[in-house]
Amino acid sequence: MQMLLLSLYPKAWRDQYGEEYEALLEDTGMSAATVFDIVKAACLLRFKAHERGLHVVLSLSLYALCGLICLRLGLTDNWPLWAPTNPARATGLFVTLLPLAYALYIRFSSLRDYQRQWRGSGMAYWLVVSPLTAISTMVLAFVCSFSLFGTGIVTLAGEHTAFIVGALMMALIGLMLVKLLDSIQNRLLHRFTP
Amino acid sequence: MSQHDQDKDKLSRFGEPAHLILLSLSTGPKHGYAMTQDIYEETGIKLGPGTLYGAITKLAEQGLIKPVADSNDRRRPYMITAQGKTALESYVASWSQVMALGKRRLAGL
Repeated sequence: MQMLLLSLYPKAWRDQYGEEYEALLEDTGMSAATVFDIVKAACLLRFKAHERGLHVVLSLSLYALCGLICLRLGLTDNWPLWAPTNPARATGLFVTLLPLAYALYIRFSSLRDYQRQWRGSGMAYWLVVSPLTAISTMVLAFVCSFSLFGTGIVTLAGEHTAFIVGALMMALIGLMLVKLLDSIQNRLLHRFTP
Repeated sequence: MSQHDQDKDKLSRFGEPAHLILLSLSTGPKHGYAMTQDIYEETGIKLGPGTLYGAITKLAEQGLIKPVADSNDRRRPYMITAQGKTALESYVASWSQVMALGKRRLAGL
């Protein structure tokens, strides 16, 4: 039972706190309230571990939704970028691009935290963190620009639904690639550092 | 924002369990179960293991507590850091003002 409950927690957390947490569970004993408390805390930690990724996915979805609304309102025929020739079009463009800017901001802030965390590790930082963060950021930037300009061409052809699906799929593929690069980076770092 | 305000802000975001843990560790290092027992005996509040370790994780990430260095025990003890002590002092000072105000206002009712 204790092992099952422990497995609900993220692996990184278990690696750091698993043993002592198991000892605490042995001392505490199990009741319905305790189990509920453990499951609730595990869910919160799992959510927190993917919080930034979820923010990026939601932002990109919101970006697609705002663009669709602008299309439906007749503010543009050329989503995602259009000339802000009047206040309504300018507002529509601003509202559409805002979630995209937020997604990029989230990515850059997680990179900043990551680099701050590993800055003291000498060679590992320069050999692993810098090149891989640069590559993963370029992947996300490429995905965003492709999503913006590439699917804009599809929109011109009048296939709005294809655009929505295409933009979301590109965003998801980009996020998966970024996650994969982050995971490689973590493994390499742990190999380089004691 | 001053360091004093930043420390207070860090702590206030974590809610009550974090304050209780810092208060418990202010009398010396303790492991998880000893903390729950101490908090229960002193305040009557029983923290579940999930809540306790959720708060411990955040406090350790923020550098307000840290594990005792030379302990290889499975029941790893934690101690309050200087930063944690400052944060706790700020929290207690601000709540003392609120309590004093509350008492004055209630006396006037």
